[in-house]
Amino acid sequence: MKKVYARPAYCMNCHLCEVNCIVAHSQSHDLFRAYKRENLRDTNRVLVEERLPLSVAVQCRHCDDPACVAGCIAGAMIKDPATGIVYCQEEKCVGCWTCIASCPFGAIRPGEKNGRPVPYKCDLCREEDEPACVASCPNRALVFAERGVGA
Amino acid sequence: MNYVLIGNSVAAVNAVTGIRECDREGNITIVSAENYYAYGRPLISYWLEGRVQDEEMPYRPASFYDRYKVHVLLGRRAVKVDPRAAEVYLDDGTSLPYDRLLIATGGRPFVPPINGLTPDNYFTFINYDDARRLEAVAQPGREAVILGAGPTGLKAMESLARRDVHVTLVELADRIWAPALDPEAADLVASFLEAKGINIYLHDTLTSVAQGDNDRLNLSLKSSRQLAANILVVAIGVRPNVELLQDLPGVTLNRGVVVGPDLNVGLPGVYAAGDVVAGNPPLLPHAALQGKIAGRNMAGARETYRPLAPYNALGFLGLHIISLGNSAATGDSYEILKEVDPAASVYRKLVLQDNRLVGGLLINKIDRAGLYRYLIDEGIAVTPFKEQLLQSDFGLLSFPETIWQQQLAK
Repeated sequence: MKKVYARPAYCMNCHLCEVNCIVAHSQSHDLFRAYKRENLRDTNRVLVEERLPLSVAVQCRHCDDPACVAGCIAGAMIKDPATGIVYCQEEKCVGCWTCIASCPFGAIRPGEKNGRPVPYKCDLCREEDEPACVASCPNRALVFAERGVGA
Repeated sequence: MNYVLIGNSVAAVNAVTGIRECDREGNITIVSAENYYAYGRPLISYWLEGRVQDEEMPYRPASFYDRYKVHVLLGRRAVKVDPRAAEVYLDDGTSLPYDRLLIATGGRPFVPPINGLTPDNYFTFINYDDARRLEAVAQPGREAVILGAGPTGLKAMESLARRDVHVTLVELADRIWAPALDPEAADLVASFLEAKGINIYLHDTLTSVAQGDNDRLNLSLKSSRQLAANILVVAIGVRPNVELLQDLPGVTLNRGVVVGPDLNVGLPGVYAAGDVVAGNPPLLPHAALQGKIAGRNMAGARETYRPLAPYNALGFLGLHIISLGNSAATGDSYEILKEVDPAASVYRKLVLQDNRLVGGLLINKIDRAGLYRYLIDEGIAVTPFKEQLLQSDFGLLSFPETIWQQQLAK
């Protein structure tokens, strides 16, 4: 399956992937509204880690045998058999956060939306052709590819 | 190929997925003593609270069984396995032949002998029917005593408290959830609960139950304390359901059934997964993974189950706890790293032994907990980045470069 691969050597630590991830998962799909009206700051599903001068965007690896899916008590987290995308059916999530304890990449964060728990994790923008983080990366530090392209 | 799966919870459903990865055509039959399609057992407390409705209980959509071509016998109990004939006998006198059999019968609540305790005057808290029975009596203002302050008792406590039932927890150990919480963490959690109006009696247990007036129970505790309650919940542990395997040559029972690395129980074609397995922590992620691997092996794969360190995420009344591995460890044989903020009910502790992480306990600050679990399960030496472990920017990049490179390339 196609996944997002990070190329740390090209990462400029601009965090635009995080910003565009938030916008892509907003109601309005508008930068201003997402930040100012929808109050979505810090809901990014990709996380830029910094150990300067090194930085790299980390997100879900959509594992073959996802520990988050195995751990989900509600059956909310699933791996789509057709696409391989691991995503949370948010209406089923009860916020036990076993997924957070499960993920070996630390790629899921606890969150909430409208008073309901939501695990913030990459869903590869599954409605779109290309994930927003990749589309917006100004230096092609993130690529959407069939397999690893090296660091 | 005929696959018969006894039990219909998380282990069995994952076994179905595992089988179908390798065999799209074989006949799969699930025998379920319960009258429900599979649900995650921990969901029952959310159901009792009203946060999950009936229609949200199923672990997989109704279409799952069709799509994976599974025949499900609900409300049918398997009563005997005959390995020589390769047949399972059911409680209605019929039998099912199998080529591959999965024992995923789980566990049942352990109820100790207590004076006056009868099936009518206490509740357990393991399955959907338990929660339904409790719902009928859990009315606001009533009083409940829960025997056992482990995960099951604590989740029962939460759902009853959310229904405005007054809850008293009675725990034999010197602290709540002793296998996962060290004394300091248990104190913090207990203070949090007491501030929410929960009574906690430690070092104590129930010695007798007597019917009182107005449908109330009079409970006598070992400490000579007397409690009156409308509801008594017994939640002190589970015992594996191994009856089907009793006295079968080749099978070893050690509370649970002993399995080989491939999850075979010692009989041709017979596998086990989940809480019924000996030495397995009765935890859902472990059952799911075992089910998947058992299923694959039943369908011809040759996979090995590598036991995972126990881990658990437990939330109640707004407090979130993640315990990993040997989370309750104290003492000189370990190096303990800690961050504590009692005002925020935050407690973060890592347990190191020989420069490797062997346990972790995270309360109310649980971000990226899985990174610690990864370090525990992989046995990675943490010396080069030990001082970063509890820092707020701890992440993949804290790991040695070869490891984060390899992780990001997955």
